[in-house]
Amino acid sequence: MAHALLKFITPIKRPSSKHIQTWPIEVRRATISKEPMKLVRPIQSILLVMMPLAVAFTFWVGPAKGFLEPELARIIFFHVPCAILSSVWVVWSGISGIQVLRTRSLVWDQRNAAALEIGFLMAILGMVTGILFSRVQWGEWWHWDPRQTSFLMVLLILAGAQAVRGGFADEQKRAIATAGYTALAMVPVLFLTFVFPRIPAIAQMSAHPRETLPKNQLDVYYSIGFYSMIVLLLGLTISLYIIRTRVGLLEVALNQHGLDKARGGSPASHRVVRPVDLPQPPGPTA
Amino acid sequence: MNSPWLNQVSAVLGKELKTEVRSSHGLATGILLGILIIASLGYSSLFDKPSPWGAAGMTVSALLFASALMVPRLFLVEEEQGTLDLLRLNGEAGAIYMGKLLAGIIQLLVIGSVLGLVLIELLSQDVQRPLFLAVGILGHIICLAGGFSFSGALVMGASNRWVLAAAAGVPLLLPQSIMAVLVITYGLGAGRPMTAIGSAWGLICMALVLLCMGALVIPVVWKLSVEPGK
Repeated sequence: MAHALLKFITPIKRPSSKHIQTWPIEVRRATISKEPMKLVRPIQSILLVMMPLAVAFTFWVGPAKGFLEPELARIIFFHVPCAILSSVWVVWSGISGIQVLRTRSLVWDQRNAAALEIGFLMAILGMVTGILFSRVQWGEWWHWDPRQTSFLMVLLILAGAQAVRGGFADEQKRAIATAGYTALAMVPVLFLTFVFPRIPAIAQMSAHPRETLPKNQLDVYYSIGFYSMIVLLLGLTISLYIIRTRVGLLEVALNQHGLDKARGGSPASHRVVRPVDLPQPPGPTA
Repeated sequence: MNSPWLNQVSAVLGKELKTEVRSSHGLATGILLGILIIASLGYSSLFDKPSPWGAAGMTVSALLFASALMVPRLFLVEEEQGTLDLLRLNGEAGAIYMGKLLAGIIQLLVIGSVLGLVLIELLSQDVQRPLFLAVGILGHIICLAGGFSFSGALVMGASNRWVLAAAAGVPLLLPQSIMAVLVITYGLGAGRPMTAIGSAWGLICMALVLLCMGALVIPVVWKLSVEPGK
């Protein structure tokens, strides 16, 4: 009903193929091509079936050993995958930023934006689940654990990138500024994620388990649940990334080139004032 | 100004220093703000002598927030006055950026020296290892100049750019702020030697990274901003 109402209020037609030809070729390929969506639909179908099963499985497995509250240690099925995927998407954002600076491509800019938003979302989810874990297992909402603190810094850097992206009205300047920031931000992010927690003096102070994954100390059921959640969340974020990139490119194309009217009007920008056809009143003309 | 790169850097540096000597607004404001931050933090502890950790934290925070206002100013004021484009017509973008960054370092050195004296006298701290204190403050200053020069140069043309320069720069500089606190604390007689030495090396590496990456990235960003279609 909302869709019908919207169509009634704003009778905008889909851009004609002649109009689409006026869009930059890279935007055209990225928005019209059906190739990316061929990947999204199977992923979504798998997620529809497997995600509920995986979530149910995480509640079915037995309590974890070695935790103050063994039942509530299940949060690691969600917390650790979110943190890992946040790092993956933030690194991809940095690579996309470098590509923007190299190629000045709008497509890479939208990929950068999508990766940044998804990395930020995953980081927030990882931080929230980590805070819950800290409260339950260590007795405090914020424990000043080195890994917790370093992840907070990564979250703040991502927030700074979002602030930079939101500070520019011009699309080109926004793309370049975001790309420059994400390219430089990779250095502290990689240091905080992969180097800082492993410094021996820091690692000794941290209450985070250090050897569970590297030494494969999860039992078989926890391993199944944990790695399944990583794969499923990766699939979810990939589908979100593809959709977000396409939506961003469509927005760019619409902002820059507008939509022509249904009657084959000229493919000029929607900002240009054009004569409007009025229906002729019935009756004899003068 | 069709001269080698270093000549251009020194010309821009000289211009910035002469501007500062004539008006001294930025330097005076930065020193005042730094002292006010330390004083307000000291008052909030009800005049209790802070520990070496607390004193180091106060000094690092004061430098961080003072530089957040001072260093981006070098780029943003020039851009608002419209003279940055004139400057870029006469010199390379990289040389202009480095000249302004060096000017920022020199201004922060002055502020850092004053705050170092405040640290020793006002906060009644005993300096046990002056080398670590000097390395900590100097490394912190160079990182701050590099980080805020980068954020200031990046956000030119943005809305609310003064606040955005600080909001974008501070997160990048939090890791090195912690390293600076560890080094300065060891200079004041607390902390562990291996942690301080590791942090000092980390601070030096971070300073080099911020200087080099800023000098590489900002000229590309400026070029793309002016010539988007090419």
